Amino acid sequence: MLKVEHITKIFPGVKALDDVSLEVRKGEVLALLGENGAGKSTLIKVLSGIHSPEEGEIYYKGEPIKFHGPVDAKEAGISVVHQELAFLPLLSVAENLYIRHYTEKRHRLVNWSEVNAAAKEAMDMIHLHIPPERPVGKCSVAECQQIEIARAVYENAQVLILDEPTSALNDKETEELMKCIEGLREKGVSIILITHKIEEIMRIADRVVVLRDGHTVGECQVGAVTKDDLISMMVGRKITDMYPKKTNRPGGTLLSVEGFGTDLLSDLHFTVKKGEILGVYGLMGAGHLELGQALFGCYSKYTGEVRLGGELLRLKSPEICIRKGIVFLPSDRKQEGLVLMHSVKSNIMNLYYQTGKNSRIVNHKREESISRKWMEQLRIKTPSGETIAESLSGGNQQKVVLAKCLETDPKIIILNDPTRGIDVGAKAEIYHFLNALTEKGVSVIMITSEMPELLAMSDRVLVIHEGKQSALLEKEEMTQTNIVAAAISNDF
Amino acid sequence: MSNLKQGIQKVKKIDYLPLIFAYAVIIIFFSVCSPYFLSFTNFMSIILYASIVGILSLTTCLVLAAGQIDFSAGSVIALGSCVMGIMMRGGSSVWAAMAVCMLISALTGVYNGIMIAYVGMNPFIATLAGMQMFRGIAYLLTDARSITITNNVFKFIGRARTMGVPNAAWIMLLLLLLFGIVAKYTAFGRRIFVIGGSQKVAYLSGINVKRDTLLLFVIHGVVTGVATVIFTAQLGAALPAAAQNTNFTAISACVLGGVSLTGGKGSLMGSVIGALLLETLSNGMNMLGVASFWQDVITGFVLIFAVTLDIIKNRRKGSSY
Ligand SMILES: Nc1ncnc2c1ncn2[C@@H]1O[C@H](COP(=O)(O)OP(=O)(O)OP(=O)(O)O)[C@@H](O)[C@H]1O
Ligand SMILES: [Mg+2]
Repeated sequence: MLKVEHITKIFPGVKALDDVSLEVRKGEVLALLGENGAGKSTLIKVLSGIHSPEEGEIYYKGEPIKFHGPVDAKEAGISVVHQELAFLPLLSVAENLYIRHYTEKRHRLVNWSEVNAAAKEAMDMIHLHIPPERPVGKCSVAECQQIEIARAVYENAQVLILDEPTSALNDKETEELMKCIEGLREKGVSIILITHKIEEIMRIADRVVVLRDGHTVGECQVGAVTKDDLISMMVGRKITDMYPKKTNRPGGTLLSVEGFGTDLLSDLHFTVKKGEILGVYGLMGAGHLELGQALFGCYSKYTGEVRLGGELLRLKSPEICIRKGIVFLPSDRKQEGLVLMHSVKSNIMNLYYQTGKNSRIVNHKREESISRKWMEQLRIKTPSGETIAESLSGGNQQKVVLAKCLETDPKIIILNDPTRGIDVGAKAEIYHFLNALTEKGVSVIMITSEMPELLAMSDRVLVIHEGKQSALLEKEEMTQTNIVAAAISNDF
Repeated sequence: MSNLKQGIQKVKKIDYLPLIFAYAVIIIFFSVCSPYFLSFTNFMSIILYASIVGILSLTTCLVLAAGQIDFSAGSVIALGSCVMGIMMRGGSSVWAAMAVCMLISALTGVYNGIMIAYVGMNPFIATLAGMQMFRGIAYLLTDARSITITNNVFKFIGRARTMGVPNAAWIMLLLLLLFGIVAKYTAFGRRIFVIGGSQKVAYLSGINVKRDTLLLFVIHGVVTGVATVIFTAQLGAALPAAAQNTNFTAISACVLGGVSLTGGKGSLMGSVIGALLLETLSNGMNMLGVASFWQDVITGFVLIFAVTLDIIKNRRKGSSY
């Protein structure tokens, strides 16, 4: 169906793709696997006409083809869900879904009922229920991801390319997508799926191609390999403990939250102990995402009391919270985490001067050494600290955001999907890192949509349902069934 | 060898490289066309006239880098200038007049800053309204008449030279150094660029976006005040209709210097070179006797040309979007 041969793509300072060949057949799900910065997204962008490769050929339905832009590819029947989502935040969900029709000639006038109906139809295909009139800017990352998937699915493509479509989705939403992909495969659509979640590959893919540093290092039928085989093929070594055991025992109470509420949350009571990882789980729209922001001072109107080490906090702005030692890692790295046009170094230093602990005079040597430290510790793959953040691969951008949070030396770190889009190898490293932090007495509030991560890393789990606390589960009660049960109903 | 390569790499990274190239072309062109152009005296006269826009472009550059814009500075200059004229006509000392001018300019900054940061008005609208109000007040105060000012302090500031270089130019260089340090070596300077890059990211990074934006506009007001004093001193008069174009020339200078109008990026050095380039252009064209309407056309063309060069340079770096 779609075939590329000997593709090479060079960016200043990096050879992102080096002589890559690959083929996807009709009615097949091909998975692309590889570490952060391996070149997966770049390959997709070459396939969809965004980048033109230095060398190599693309064949579509047996014919050599050259795309001069994303529109060409789309017209040929190739739809893409990109890793870094791009929406018009002020326009409604419906319009964002419909927007490509605005370039068609017969659509000089906009028929609003048609726009909304089409949007509804598109969303129904993946069982998504968002009011079509809502502005996209008000949707969560997970919702945006689903809208984008709906758009691509609705376009009736012959080749559907999904670049980490599930990185922000929970199990249920992922399952819906998997079913949808199966349906499309039966209709003969070819699908390329990029994901860091090996389970998804085992579940749905027919074939896997593994990329490392811009080379193809392996290709196999999914039935013929195990999970561990794939992982070691991808990172080039074996990963023994994906989720390291926490060895420390949480100490006394560090943060206590009493009767806390905002416009979306109400009546929350919980504590976070020193050195503890408190997992937070909820289904889409439950309010668990807002909890992270609220504890970071983003909602100046709130009720209840929050104490840090006994001291009553005024959660009026992030500025105040950072000074008190609370940091927040937002889930939307592109909109909320990074200044994309600035260098990696400058992004890592973004929080540094707001902690109130450091000198306000900029010392460029010190900035250099701090950013180098994090680039090494988190293995951020970038030509240099001066490279602009936008040109990094998704997973590496995520690491930059993590680095800027950690550099503040916080007491409490609130993580919103901390490993979104991060490869298995780096993920294990981050978990080790978090554990090391808790050893030092740092407390972690981890809001995540990933069940394995939640179960393995948390000391306790707080479950939110419709803005209310539906359960606070101790280690012994923490099972997937319990958590999901609490997430779907209040009277757990 | 590797040193040379590194050096070249560094030079290549300078944002205003196309500007220097364009400036060189202009200088060569006028030197060939006019025998009087290429001389120390002429260059000092260029720098004397460029200093007003040069000074204004410093904080204009920071305002643009913060993702904001200011259209009111020209009117602020007219207003400050008229107030000084009235005070000195009434017998106040030049120092008192200058102090009041600074104060008024700072207050216009407070107005812009509060409207934009705290009320949440679009900077385009807030400063456009400011532009009309301040100009209007200047007319009201003077009854639309000009006031001549003769004063030794003004002569010193406006016309005199130290070590052969005009004092106004010294002030510009001093402020360039000062703001260069602010932009590169203070947390405040760095925050300005983060705010311009993304207000959301800045807010979530614990930056008090409102306070910093207000502070920036106040500083911009004060610097506009300095430009006002030099402007009035050079002109030797206060005119309510003065400095109609100064504001836009300063923005042009910043754009020539590679500032991003969407914020997050900008070079002070580039902006000052931009101001010098624009003044050089008008000086050269005057020398060749180019008619003033043609001068406008050519200035506009040079702006487009330089910005196009910049776009091409950026495009080569990255991908196709
Ligand atoms: N526009 C660009 N300019 C410069 N370098 C780029 C650009 N886009 C990607 N790169 C570089 O190319 C390499 C491959 O990036 P790519 O985004 O394809 O990785 P990826 O495999 O998708 O990783 P991830 O799993 O983190 O999404 C990286 O080293 C990245 O820094
Ligand atoms: Mg990617």
